[in-house]
Amino acid sequence: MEEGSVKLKHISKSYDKQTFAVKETSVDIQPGEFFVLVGPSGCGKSTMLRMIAGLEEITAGEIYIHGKSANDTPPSRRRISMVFQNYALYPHLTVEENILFGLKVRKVPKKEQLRLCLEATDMLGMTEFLKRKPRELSGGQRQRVALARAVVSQMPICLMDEPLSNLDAKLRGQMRTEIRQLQQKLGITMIYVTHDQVEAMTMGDRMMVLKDGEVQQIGKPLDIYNNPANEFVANFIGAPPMNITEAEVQRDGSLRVHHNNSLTLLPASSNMKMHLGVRPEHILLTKTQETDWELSVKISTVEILGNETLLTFEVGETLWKAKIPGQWHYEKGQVTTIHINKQHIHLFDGRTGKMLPESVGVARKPAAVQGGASI
Amino acid sequence: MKQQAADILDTKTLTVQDAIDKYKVASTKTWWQKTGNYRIAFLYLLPSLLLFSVFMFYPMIYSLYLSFFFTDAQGTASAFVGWENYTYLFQSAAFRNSVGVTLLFVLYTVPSSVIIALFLALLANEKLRGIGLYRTIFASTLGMSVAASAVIWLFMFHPTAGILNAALTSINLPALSWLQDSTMALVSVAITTIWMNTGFSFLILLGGLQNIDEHLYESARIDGAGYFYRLRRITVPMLSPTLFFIITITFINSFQSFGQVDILTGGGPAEATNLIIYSIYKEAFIYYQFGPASAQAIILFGAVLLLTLLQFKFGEKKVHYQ
Repeated sequence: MEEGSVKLKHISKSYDKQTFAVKETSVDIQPGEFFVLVGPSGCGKSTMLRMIAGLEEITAGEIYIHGKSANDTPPSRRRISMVFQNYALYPHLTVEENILFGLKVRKVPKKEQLRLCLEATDMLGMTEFLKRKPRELSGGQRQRVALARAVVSQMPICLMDEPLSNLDAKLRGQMRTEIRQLQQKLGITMIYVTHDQVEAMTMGDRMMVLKDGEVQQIGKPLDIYNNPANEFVANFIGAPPMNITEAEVQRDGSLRVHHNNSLTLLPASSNMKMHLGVRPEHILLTKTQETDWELSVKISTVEILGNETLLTFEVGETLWKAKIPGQWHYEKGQVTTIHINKQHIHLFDGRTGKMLPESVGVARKPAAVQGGASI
Repeated sequence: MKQQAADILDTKTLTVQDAIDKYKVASTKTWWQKTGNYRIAFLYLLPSLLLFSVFMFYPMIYSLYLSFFFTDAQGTASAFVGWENYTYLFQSAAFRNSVGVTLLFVLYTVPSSVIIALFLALLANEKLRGIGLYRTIFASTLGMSVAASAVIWLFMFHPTAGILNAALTSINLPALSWLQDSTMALVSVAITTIWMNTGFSFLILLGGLQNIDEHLYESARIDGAGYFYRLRRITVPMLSPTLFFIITITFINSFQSFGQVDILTGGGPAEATNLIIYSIYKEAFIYYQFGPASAQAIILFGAVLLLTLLQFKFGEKKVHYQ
């Protein structure tokens, strides 16, 4: 296997031998790939990253880095660089000394050190700050020093643990693109931990969604967005989250949402509890050629953001959200009709939360939509 | 051109001032109301000011006063003698011996106290099972009175029944006369003092170590830095404010060691452990020479103050505050 690849085989981590922090994870990360580990806090994503770094013991399973078994390789021999959430800059050293720390440890010749340092700081626009101490820098500049430290190490794999979470929203957006560009320019493998689904969606070539130490889904961001493997993923990826409602399956195989309009399933699969999900951005307020299902709802709140309007309304007992472009004025309690294309409906098993295969759910390909809404 | 620029500047500053003047509203508060916070602050300070005045400022000033006088046996000033007490001290061989012994004692105790405490703190900072027990043990000398510790060591130093000589003879080494020999006596007092200092220094250094961000070490480990490299390049610089504090405190404490000298050696043998504080005590409360005793106290105060200031001036450059 190639340099820069990371392969996990049934990796598990347990601190107390009773519960898993990370459970049987297997994945192949390709050289030059931007791979994102995403999940809510406490899902084990940082633990997994730290196991890849060698900072945390692996309880079970195997890890291969650069194609070689790395279970017992110390962190310094894994040829990785790491950017920490709080940047881990040495407060008593200047920016330059911070950047050169690793090179000094590895006894890189002085001339080479200087060249690499200038190259990295130039790349990140930090040349004028070389003599400053970290405390004299802003959050964004510290972040850049941490990145420069990773760049200067010239390691083929870079690990990042929520590097943007200490920055303000605007800077975060900017650094997102910068990190992505940097990774592409250097052609290194990036393994990136975040709890922010926006970062996962925009930066990653592929991502792994984790929950309670278990892998929920691995795939390209758009594939995960379009075909979430289960309710958790559907909820976690996308903002606002997907609307999910319990739905009843009728004897004739049609589906009802809280005594509202029913929807025919193809083929019929009765006696199943199901959950129906629709993304807020797939709800329309007007009937178009594409929409083929409608629901009558009661508006409960309206948030007008200028370019778009967030509507919250009651669908039976649950609250749904809709993201509608433009500015819409509604009164609380007003009853209106929403329109949905059946293609955009996701169906999940009511007990396990798993996405139902297309044959059971509403077919997502237009050709398979035959029944239409039975009103 | 220049004139114009000045004009613009002038009008600009004027407009700001004008704007302020235009909308300024005179405060309706009286002087008494405005200074209310100062009175409250003074009230809060009053208890400490009172205590300090009675137990610190008054004795200090009174010592200074006495150092220029001859006194009677009750300590009442009887005759003004100017600098005579001081000149007498500098001519006295006993005082010079005291100064020498004190400096040697400081040299024995300060570096070893700090290094031992740092070593123990580094050990106790490792995340191991049952480390809490060791932390308690290492810190325990903090809770022991000077008298109790000195008595414990007195037993251990005992020439025939002491555990130290028993240990030495058991490995076929000659027994030492710990407190009776004039060179060993100072070393023995120093050992006791180091042992007593360790608890406090250990605790403070351990606290300092635990404040160092774990990620710094992880980052260094990924770079491949070994234990001693990390110790030298990360731990010591990051710990420098704490180390500086500990060195200063230990330094001052060493100068002021009294109890252990009193119990272990009483200044002997042959004045070999007659530290300045002990010499002050003997001068004042055994010989009733309050004048020279006060002069010694003032000199000690001045010396400690000067050395501490020097330490701040030169030592602080090596300290990295965050």
